[in-house]
Amino acid sequence: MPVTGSSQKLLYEQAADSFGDALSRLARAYESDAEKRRDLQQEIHLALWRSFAGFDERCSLRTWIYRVAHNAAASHVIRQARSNARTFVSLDDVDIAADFVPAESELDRRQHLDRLLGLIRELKPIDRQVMVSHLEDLDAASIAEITGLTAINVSTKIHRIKHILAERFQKGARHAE
Amino acid sequence: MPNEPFTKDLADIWQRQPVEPIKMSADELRHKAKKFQNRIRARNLLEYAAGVYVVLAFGSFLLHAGSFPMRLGCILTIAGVLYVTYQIYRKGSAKPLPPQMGLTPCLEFHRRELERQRDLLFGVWHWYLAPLVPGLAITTFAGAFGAKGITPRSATIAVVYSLAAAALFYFIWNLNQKAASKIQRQINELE
Repeated sequence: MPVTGSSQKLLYEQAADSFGDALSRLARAYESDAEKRRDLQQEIHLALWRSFAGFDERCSLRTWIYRVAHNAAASHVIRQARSNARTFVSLDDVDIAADFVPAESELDRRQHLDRLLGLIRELKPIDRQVMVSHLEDLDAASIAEITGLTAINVSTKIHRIKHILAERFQKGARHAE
Repeated sequence: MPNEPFTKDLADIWQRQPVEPIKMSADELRHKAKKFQNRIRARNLLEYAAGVYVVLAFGSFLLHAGSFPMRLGCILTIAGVLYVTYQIYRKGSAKPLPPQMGLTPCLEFHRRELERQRDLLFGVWHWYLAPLVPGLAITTFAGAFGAKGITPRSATIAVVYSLAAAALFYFIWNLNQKAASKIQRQINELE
């Protein structure tokens, strides 16, 4: 049964309070330009607010929020890619050449984060969704529910993500030693 | 899994990054919704402006057209442009994101978006190019043969114009087919 106007408001407030930080990180994974990212973040919040009018608890609130957010962000990516003819790679095609700076100081952590964001933004939307969800500590079953991929497929992709991250960041550390 | 502790570190870096979370009031959400609608409307109006321009131009030709074939060509061109504009509105215009997105897993949503774009591009001959052919063909031939009938010069003009239009239409069709094939590859690679 669809929710009432006041429930819609409550659900939105709950989403913004509990998932505001995660939604902000998600927007960062999809858009590097600060102004466009702010627009995207607002677009995600607007999409969430509108979507809650139809929230019927067929899935958990968390799954619903991530689906809406990722779908809104993917639409944004498709629009942007169409206007600037950009292409994305799949996890299988990611260049795994190591490029490492030890993440000990705050500056190093920021460099790690920048590299991580660069890697994420290279990916096709569906791989990006899996990677961001993995970094948000969601388990394979939850990621499968959000993305619609099979659990086996999600596990394979997570395995590949771990391999890429290790190759790109960890191996470089060994070379740097 | 040897990579496990390392990816945990990266997850920690990811989760502790500085963020700027937002929370919008009901008024802000309504204002934003209205702003989005206005932006979408403006974008769509821009798409229709070209159609309006062609309709006005051929409407003007229609008023001054002397011969029946030329008038018929103008009417068919206007009808074709109106049909194409309607199809742009129906299939291709910018629309707000569907409110039931939470029910649709990302893979399915993404596939539907890509399929919609692919179909639009694959079908460009039927909904964009073909409706303009009868009107443009008749006006071209009526314009070439109208004053002095069929002469070597008017026949040459008609053939040159027709070939140029055919080349342009083929170019547009081919460009769209290539773009559609590219999207089809993306669909195939989805899982």
